[in-house]
Amino acid sequence: MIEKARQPIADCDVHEGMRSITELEPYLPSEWLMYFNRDSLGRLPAKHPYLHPQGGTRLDVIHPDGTSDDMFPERVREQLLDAYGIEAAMLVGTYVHQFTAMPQGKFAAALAAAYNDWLIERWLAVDTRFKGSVAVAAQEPRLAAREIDRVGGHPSIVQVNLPMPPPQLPWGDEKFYPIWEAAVRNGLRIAFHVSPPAGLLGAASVNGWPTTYMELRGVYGLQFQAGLMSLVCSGVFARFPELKIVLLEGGFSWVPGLMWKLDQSWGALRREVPWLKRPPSDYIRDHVRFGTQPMEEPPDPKQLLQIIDMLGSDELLLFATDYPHWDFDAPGPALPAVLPATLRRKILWENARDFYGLPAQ
Amino acid sequence: MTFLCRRDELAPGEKRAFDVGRVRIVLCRRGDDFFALRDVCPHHGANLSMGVLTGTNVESEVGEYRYGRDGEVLRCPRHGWEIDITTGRALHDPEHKRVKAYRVVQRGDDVLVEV
Repeated sequence: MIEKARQPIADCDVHEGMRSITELEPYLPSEWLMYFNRDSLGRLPAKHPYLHPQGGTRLDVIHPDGTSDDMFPERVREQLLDAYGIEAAMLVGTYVHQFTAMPQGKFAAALAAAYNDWLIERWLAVDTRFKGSVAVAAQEPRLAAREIDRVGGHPSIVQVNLPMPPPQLPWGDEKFYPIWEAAVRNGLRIAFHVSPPAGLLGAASVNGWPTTYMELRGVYGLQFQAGLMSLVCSGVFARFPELKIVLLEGGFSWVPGLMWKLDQSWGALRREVPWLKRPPSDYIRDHVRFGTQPMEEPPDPKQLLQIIDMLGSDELLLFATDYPHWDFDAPGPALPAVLPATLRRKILWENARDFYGLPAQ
Repeated sequence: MTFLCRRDELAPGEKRAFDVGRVRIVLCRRGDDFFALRDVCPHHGANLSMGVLTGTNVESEVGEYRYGRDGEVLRCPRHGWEIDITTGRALHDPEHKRVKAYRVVQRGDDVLVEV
């Protein structure tokens, strides 16, 4: 039995499932149905090049007919929202990050729009606790901005959904400004989620291609470090003071070290980034949040408190389960008992409430 | 007040180290003005006099560079901290990072410092 939490919870990383990409067919304009052919469907969108030894989905939500519970909003409501007392579940999709990996960018943008219409109809209409993320084809920033404007006003949509790593150019590049402008214009956050290193998303790491899934999982944090440094140093936060982002599934124990390194470099190299008006770590604390899943598990749980202390703020961590994936974090077991009640409350609810502007519970 | 040098011994844009008693200072000239700082970087203690008296890229719009403060910035020879010679404060963290600045007086052709 799951013991329901005595406080509201926000789950910042939930993957709504889709039985097949063909679920998008009714939402696609006729001109794009040409790609829904026998040849295309098996490899659409760009596929994950890494195989998980057991499969990426929790075995306890998979059924013999090949479906899994994440494909059904009513089951997710029961298994996740009702079971754990989750008041806000940020849906970050299943195929959506791979749209940005597709070289055929205009078709990718059409798929993203179809996905958003599917998301609104199939999920957001079912329960207001489901919060939507705008799928975009970020390799086409102007189309992405147009899509953000099209659906960003929906009352249950809270953010724009982007992959880490980026499509070809670093996220700090000016090419992506239309996306940040559209997010700010619509009062939306940006969620960066780890993504398979497929298609335009390029090599899995700066060291090339790891040869095990285990290494790939460790590489995610490196991708986020590179992406975050790009956003900070290129001046995206200086240029867009209202932009707020969350990094999902890349960990957070590396953040203090990255802050120290950037601040140290700033002392030495400030004239290379004269648009930064404050130490780089200030921008991170003001603009960036980190999903907790997969929770860092130091051998001594007290060390988690030391890491949070080193972050210089107890407002940076947002709880996430990553339902229905294999490394799902349940709210109780994921947060060790050494965390004081006030901090636990912040991580489970208050930080996300403040970040997303959720109504008080 | 301690005599350091005559005005014409240090040209505009130049700097030079002096020992004043047990204190080592760096004297910098910007135009007709002279500034003296303790010759020790507040970061790791390098002699600032071994660095570069220069300008820097001042605060600008994102993606743009604007050079300014020419001759007012003393850059450390090691990690490149930039010290404002008029105040002794580091440009990147003026509130917390600073080196002691001394009062300089010009009397006739003489340049003197109060240490």
